[in-house]
Amino acid sequence: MSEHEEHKVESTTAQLFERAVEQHSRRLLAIARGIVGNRASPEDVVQQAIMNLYQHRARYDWNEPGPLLRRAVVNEALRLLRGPKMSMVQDDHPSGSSETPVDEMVAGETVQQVRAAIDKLPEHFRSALILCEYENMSYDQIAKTLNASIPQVKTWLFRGRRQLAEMLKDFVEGKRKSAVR
Amino acid sequence: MTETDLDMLEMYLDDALSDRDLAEAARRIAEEPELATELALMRVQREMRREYFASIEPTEAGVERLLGRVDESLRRRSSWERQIKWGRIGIAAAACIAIGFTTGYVGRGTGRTGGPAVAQNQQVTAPTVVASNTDDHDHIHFVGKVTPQVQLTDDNGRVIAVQPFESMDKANEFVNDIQTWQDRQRQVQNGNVLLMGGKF
Repeated sequence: MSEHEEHKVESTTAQLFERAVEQHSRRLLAIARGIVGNRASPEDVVQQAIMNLYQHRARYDWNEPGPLLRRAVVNEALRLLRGPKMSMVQDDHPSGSSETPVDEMVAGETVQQVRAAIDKLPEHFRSALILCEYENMSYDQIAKTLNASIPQVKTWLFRGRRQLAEMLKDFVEGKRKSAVR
Repeated sequence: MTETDLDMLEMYLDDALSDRDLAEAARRIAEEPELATELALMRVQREMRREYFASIEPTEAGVERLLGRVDESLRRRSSWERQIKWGRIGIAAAACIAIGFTTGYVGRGTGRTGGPAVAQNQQVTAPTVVASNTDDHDHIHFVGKVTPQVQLTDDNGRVIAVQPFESMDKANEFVNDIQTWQDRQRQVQNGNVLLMGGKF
């Protein structure tokens, strides 16, 4: 490959890379927050994941960057969680978009309860759940992202949901009763 | 409710059942109220999780902040990569120069330490002893084919004496003696050696 062609490829890769980061950063931040919770800054996780990819950008196909970026962010988030225990970071996002203060309070409580329960799940259960229910990924895609088998992913999802149902049983029951009244 | 039933319902909601299993699940949900109740409960739980997932969406400011940080990091990395690229070129050039110098130094001419040059095919046409005002008779040459002769020259290359010998061995011996004497003279002049005695 001539120097001119090499420069052209490099320039195209750089453009695709920038576009991919811009397009996916919102979802990536949410995935990172979902996995690390308040134990690390999601921005740090996503930034590090992006920089890791940038270092080897020539190896990847940037025409289909979504799965690549998600995998990088999930791996970075899990890597951080396996590291030494970190201090809590501040929550800096709105709790919801409810119409009235009462709705907002109820929604806020639901979010808090679910967040507390999800935070207690093992990290792989939590990651699989976020990729399945937030990213709407298939079992096959989740397996590839988490570097696991499909049966393993199905097990993680099933157990994670069962554990959540158990943890939130009383809260759900209370909600149902108040809804009946 | 068995685990298999629960698993089937979760997969039903995940849209992960095959066409045949989907039809079977739909039939059972319609016919078994217990399954329908459990499915409704699962939907409530999912709705709660959906609310939570909506809450973890970052703010616009958060996204902008991330993009700014990434941009800054990329600029720093690009600048660093450029520096490394030019650094490599510089190091390569320096390495070439160093190799060149080393090669030149190692393979340099032996000069004076190599001993006198022997020119077997030269003949001294007019062997003349030339008086010299210098003691540094550095340049000694063998000349003559039939009769070996040693030419003594001064620093400027002028022949100051020619000594014929019967054989090449004798001529070599003479040259070695001269060199030894010169080396000792130099040591004495430099003050490195206190000369107690010597055979000259």
